[in-house]
Amino acid sequence: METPVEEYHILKEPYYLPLSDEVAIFQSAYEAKLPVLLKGPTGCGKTRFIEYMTYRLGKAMGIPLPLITVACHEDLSGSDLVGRYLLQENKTIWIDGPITRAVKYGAICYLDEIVEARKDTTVLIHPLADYRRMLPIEKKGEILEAHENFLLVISYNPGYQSVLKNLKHSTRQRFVAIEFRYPTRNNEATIVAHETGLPLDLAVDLAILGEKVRHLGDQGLQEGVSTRLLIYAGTLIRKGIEPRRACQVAVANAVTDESDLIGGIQEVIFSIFP
Amino acid sequence: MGTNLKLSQERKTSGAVFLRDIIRPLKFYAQALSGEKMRLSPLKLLSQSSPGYRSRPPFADVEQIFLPEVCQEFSAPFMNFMAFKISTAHQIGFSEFGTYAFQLSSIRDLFSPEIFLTRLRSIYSQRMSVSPLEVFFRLFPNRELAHDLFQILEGVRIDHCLGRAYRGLKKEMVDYCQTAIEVKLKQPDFPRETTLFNFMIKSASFCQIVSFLPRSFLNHFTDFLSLVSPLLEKQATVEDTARTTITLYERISSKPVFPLKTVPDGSDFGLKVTFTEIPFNEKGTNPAWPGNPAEKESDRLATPPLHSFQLPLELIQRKLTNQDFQILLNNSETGSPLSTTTLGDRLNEMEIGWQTSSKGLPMIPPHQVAGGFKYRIGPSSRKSGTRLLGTTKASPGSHSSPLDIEDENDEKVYYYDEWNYRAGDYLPDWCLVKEKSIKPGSFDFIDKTLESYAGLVAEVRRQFQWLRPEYLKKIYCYEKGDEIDLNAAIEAAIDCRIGHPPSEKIYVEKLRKERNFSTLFLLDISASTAERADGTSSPPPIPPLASNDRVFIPRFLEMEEVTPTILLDTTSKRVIDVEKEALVVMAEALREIGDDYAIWGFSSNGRLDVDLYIIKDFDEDYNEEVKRRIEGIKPQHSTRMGPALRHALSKIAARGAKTKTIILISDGYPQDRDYGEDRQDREYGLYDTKVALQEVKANGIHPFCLTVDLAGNDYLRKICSESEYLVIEEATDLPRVLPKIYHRLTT
Repeated sequence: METPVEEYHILKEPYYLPLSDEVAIFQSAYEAKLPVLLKGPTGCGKTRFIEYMTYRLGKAMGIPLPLITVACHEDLSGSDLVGRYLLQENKTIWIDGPITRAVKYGAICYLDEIVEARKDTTVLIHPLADYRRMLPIEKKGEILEAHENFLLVISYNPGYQSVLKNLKHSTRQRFVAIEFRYPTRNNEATIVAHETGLPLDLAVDLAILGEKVRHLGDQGLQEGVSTRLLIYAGTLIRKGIEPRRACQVAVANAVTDESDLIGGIQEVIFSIFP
Repeated sequence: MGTNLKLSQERKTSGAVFLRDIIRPLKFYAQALSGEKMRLSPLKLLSQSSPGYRSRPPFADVEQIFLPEVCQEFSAPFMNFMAFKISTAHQIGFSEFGTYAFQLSSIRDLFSPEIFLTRLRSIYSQRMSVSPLEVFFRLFPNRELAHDLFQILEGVRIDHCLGRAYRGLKKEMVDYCQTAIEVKLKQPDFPRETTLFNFMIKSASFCQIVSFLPRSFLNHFTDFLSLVSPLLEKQATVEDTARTTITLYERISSKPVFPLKTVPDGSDFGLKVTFTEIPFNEKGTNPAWPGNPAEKESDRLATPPLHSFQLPLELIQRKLTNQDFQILLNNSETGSPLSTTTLGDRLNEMEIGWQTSSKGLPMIPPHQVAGGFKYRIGPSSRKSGTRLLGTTKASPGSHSSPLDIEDENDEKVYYYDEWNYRAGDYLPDWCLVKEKSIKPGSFDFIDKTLESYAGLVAEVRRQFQWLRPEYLKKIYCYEKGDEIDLNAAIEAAIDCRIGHPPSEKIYVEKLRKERNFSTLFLLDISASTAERADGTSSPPPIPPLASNDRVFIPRFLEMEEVTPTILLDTTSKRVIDVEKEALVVMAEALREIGDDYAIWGFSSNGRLDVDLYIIKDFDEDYNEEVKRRIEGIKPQHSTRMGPALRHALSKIAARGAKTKTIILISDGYPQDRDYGEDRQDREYGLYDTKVALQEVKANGIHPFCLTVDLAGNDYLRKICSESEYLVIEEATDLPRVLPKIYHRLTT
């Protein structure tokens, strides 16, 4: 089913387990119209959090609050974000990009993995991310003031330390930063149990596995194993796959290609799951 | 089978599993389980370093696990592998479940204060390097008995902790133990006494098989169980084990029927096994022994099998410091206040001006504390001034100021400040840095390295080829090209329609996107790099050739001044050799992408003698001359990192690249004979290095510290952020890791 991006609403409350005060901080930032940067490793809940907050804020305001997500990449141009003229039959029509739609209709605009985009593209968001809250559309010669419900949110994974792919200070210092980490064992078990429908003791075992594999951070697994992968493993288990095998395919083989590292992780799996 | 073992066909046939084949996955397993970087080392290294090992084992770090080189106790490779795995988990269990957290103060109440203090003073006065557990054993008249009892009891506690924490491991241990004991019982030469005593001890474990135990043993068995069962509970701690040891010691030592003696076991997996002389029946035989039919069914008893993977615990526990002894002896932490005179003397030594207040107390004026701040972490600018050896030609804003006068060897010299953390200020022009050349080597090191690492070099070359500019992405919106950029073309057509001048950049071109990097590899070539890369303190003896051995002895071995490092096995390599190999592999990788780079070595012998060896400068090609300089790198003196970094900064800052990096490769913490007022003060060197790194970053250069010092985490986290350093556990991994780090930093 196709839905215009500005009409994409979260209809059902997503499950999210708060790990700290991130809900309160985001709520305060939204009310103060301060843009937010979510930083943390892959699969730790950043996207789920923003979906949860979008739903929650919309519910509090009594209106459906749209969430517009853009996955940033190296080929993302300014036109992709802001909009472009297109030919339609014999006419040239202007098509708003996702940022423009979010600004116009008052959505939360979520730019995921902002560091993947080129820096000349990233700077386009600067006027939206400071006190001006406006978007210049040079092609049209217009300046668009942001809707009062609009908020800009970006995400960024600081674990990938390249001297090239980092966030410029002129960009990062326009945002309030909320840091995400993988949950503690008990919290992660709760999340995994909820997402997979597994009994809690099995979910605890998966959380223990996550904790142990993350100890190998300096062996090429900088990100460790994400909560997402643990959920995948749990989902396979619930579908009837034997736990050891499920963890092999969803964890060991997914996080690395190095055979010795796979071997070591497998022994951890076999130690945890009988 | 639980792992993908890469075994030779011959080994598969014999069932033997060699540590060398599985050491890496086991190492990862150990690190994952424990959360600590664990080194797995062959037992032979332990026995080499201490000839009297069996009678008096040496101490080692908590980060090491010693395992036999081979396990061939079973015909199935899987079982031999499980022996290694369970032994590893068992050793980690001591760390994970608090064995090394043992505190002497927790059991002090069980000994009379006089005995406790007397024994403690005796140990302290001998200045022995001991751990708390070793001290605990020395409190007993028969320390070996106490040690054996403690080790067995603590092993039981650990096994149960492991079983509770890891359900899969519990099942593996049960299955393994069951199979192992069945195998052991079938061995005709297996010492029965050992088996029976271990049956008794291990009855508390969860391994349950039916076996035989003499009825006369049962009373002691039941008594023992009542002592041990509290250790099986979740809340049991190492202190409980210590207390149980004391209780059991008292009971056993008072029963002459149970004389205990300690003898070395033949198997490497049971290094020190204690057994008891079991009382047999009148005929001297045990009617209920396997092989003899049980007289009655009631003589049979469920008993546990052997689990003999244990090492002397005092090997892997941290040692007590002098301060720890003092605290124990004094039983308090109160100190004595300094007199005003003493405080004044201390301040004078530190050259901090002070006055006496109206109340007779030393006062330090604020400006003395501030130190007339010359604190600068911003872009540095050298000031000109008079130097010891002449005047400078420093220009404002420059980062270095070569002297007019060169020293007698025509080497350029530079002065750099040094950060004194005690004073909170720089010491101006404190260090003298000299650029030196390296005497070329006379040994075909490069070719041998490329041969040894042929596979790695090929892989690295392939990976770096993908970084080559011609493989990089297409450039859109270009003025010319082989393809049309559709988006740009549409926009141009639209611009036409609406009356705007269209853009000409409507093509896609595959362009060489220039990599714009400069990297300076700064190599620590201090004396410590002469140490073995595997951590042993002395080189293993070269075995004498047997008469029928056919060994190729290269010509260069006949040359006195050359140390053959390549053709010996890995364990004989020095850290410097591994560093040189890493540079060779890195240079091959960089040859593929043409990045701008330099290689320098540094060493120091005091603040006025800091040497920077230009192995390859930025504008030099990686030619034969450079290769011979790499060959010629030799360990020098000490490691004064601050001035080396500052000089590196001054050089790389002048490069025109957009992105600049300094990769510091070292094997230890910064130290020099006068690096701080007190040579034992490690903090001084660390703080100076920290500030130097901050200066590097403030100038827009990215530093990265790579160390093969296993203790690197302890101090590197103090001087740079977590993403700016890496500790390499095995020094021999450096050639593999260095290109990966570079790849990661520059993509």
